[in-house]
Formats: sequence, structure tokens, C-alpha cells
Amino acid sequence: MREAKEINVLLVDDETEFAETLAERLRLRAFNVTVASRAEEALAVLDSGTRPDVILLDLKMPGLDGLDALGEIRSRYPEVATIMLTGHGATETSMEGMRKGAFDYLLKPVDIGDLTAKIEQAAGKKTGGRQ
Amino acid sequence: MKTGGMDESLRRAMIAFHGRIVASATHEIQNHLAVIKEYSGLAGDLLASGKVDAGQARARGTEINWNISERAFEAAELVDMLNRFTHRADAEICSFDPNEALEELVALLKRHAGARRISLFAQSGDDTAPFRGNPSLLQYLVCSLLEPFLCRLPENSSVAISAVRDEQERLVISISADAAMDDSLEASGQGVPEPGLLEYCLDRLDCSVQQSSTTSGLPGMRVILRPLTAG
Repeated sequence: MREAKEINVLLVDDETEFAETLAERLRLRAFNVTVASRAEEALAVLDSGTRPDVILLDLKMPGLDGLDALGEIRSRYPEVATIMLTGHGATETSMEGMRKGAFDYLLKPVDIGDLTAKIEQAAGKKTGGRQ
Repeated sequence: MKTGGMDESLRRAMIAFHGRIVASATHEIQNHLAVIKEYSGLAGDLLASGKVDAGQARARGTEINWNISERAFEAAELVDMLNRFTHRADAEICSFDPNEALEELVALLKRHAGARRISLFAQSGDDTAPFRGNPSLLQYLVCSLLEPFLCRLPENSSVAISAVRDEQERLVISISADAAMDDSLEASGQGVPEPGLLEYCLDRLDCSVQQSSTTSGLPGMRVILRPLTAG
């Protein structure tokens, strides 16, 4: 398992207060976190050459939504593992995300322990698709 | 379609409408709770980390506490709106405050409009005299009329909804946009009523719809309702 300080995370969520607070909690656990508030912004980060180990992707966002963004990420950057963040009652969408190659999904509100464990697992494998 | 068939279609459409509103509002409430949970977790993390001195901890704690109470307030307000909205269906015909009914509808539709990057406002008037009618059906009608605006307006535009009483004691609800609509875009989606249903709904409410536009040609419409007589 890789050390948290070696793991780069891109957190994508239009709820900026949630994203910034969660990012701060992950940084306190030594993860390197970048925040994007739109899927388009996240793709621009990837297009610029930045390669996070793990993307945390909210599924419900204005503009390009999480599922479409996931498709783009998987086709253009298959080496980056994506964990979806979803609300309750979005099981079908989560399943669709898994079919599109997400590493896994977590329900919001997330448990920080579950999240960090999942990030480390995803960064360790980085293969895409649940193992 | 016969009246019975339209009644059934309207009943189904109303159930679907209530379902969409409740799903959207609970999602939003869950967002508030998720933020509160993260702030609370962050406060615990900072205390446990020992990386902040007493002064920093006090300042950060005050900020986090303020943010939590703001979010709790917003969540409580949304719960209140949702509660009022669901109780609108308790009585089919009743006396109600139209401004209140529109205010709660707008509050509950903000997330839906925001997903299309459109801002929604209720412009409340001073007139709070009760109006006799079917508030739940009126909310459904306004939501249905609003949908084409949300589908055809450009991002970052806004729509205002207001209600006033005219000299004949009719209720006049105005929906107006601050940008031109792109008529080449199709109004589609769950919020668009099936053919004939809107007309049936207008009939049931004894109201009419007039397209209107501002002097600068921006789109809008007016819904005019007569109060239902008691009994």
C-alpha cells in the first residue's frame, strides 16, 4: 500500500464547501488534494498534463455530469482510478458508473476512514474497474 | 381523451411532480448534512492533530461553528418549505396565500434550475390576502409552464415569478426571464406535461395563460386565475 503523502487526489464536486472541507481533512491525513468544482474543470486539469492517482467524482453536477465525465476520463486517461461520490437513492447511477469502469463508489455523507482506505486501495491498484 | 382519462393522467402527473420535488429537496438537504458532517469532522481532526495553537483553534473553531449553523439553518428552511409543500395537497380547494405557495415552489425548484445554471426568484408582493383555489394544482401548473423556460434559456440567465391581484380580484402570476429563449431547443424532460394535460389543468383551475414580453422583447407569460367560489 502506498503512503498517503505519495497519493495525488483530484476531488470534483460542485458543492464547493463540501469539497474544500473534505480536501482539508484529506490534507491533514497527508494526501495531496486538488479541487475542481465542475467536471469540465477536472478534464482541463487532466488535459494540462496533471495526473492524479485517484479522482473522487461527484455524480450529480451542473453542466457535464459525473457519469459523462467518468466516460471521458476512462476513455482518455484509463490509468487514473475514479471513485464516485453519490447520494442515497442513486444505486442505478452508481451501477452504471461501475459498468463504465469506476473503481468503486461511496455514499455521501462519506466516512473519512472508509474514504481514505478506498483511496489507498485505488491508488495501489490503479487498474480501473473493481477488482 | 375523456375527462376521466385526463383526471387519471393529471393524478399520475401530480404524483410524479411531488416525487420529483421531494427527491430534489431531500438531495439538497443531504448535501447540507454532508457539509455539516465534514465541518464537524474537520473540527475534530484539527483538535486531534495538535497542529494548531490555542489562538488558531479558537478562530478556526468559531469559523467552523458559524458555517455549521448557517448550513443547519438552510437545511431547516428547506425542510420547512418541503413540509409546507407536501401539506398543500391536504385539501383540494382551500384559501391560501399565493405568495407563500410560489415562494416554497421556487425554493424547492432552485436546485433543478441551478442544474441548468439558471437562477430562479420569487418576487413577493405585499398582498397576503388569501386566495381561494387549488394550491397544489397551481404549483404543478406553474412548474409545468416554467419548464420550457429552463430548457430554452441560456446559462446564467434568471427567471422571476411574482403574484399580484388585479382589480377584478383575479390572481395574476407573472413568469419573466432576463434573456431571450432559444426556440430551436426542444422543451423535453420529466417536467413537460403530456399533450392536452396543460389545457386540462388550466380548465380545472379556471384560468388562462397569456404570453407576454417586456419592451426589450424578453420572454414571459402571465397566468390569470379567478378565485373559486366557496362551497
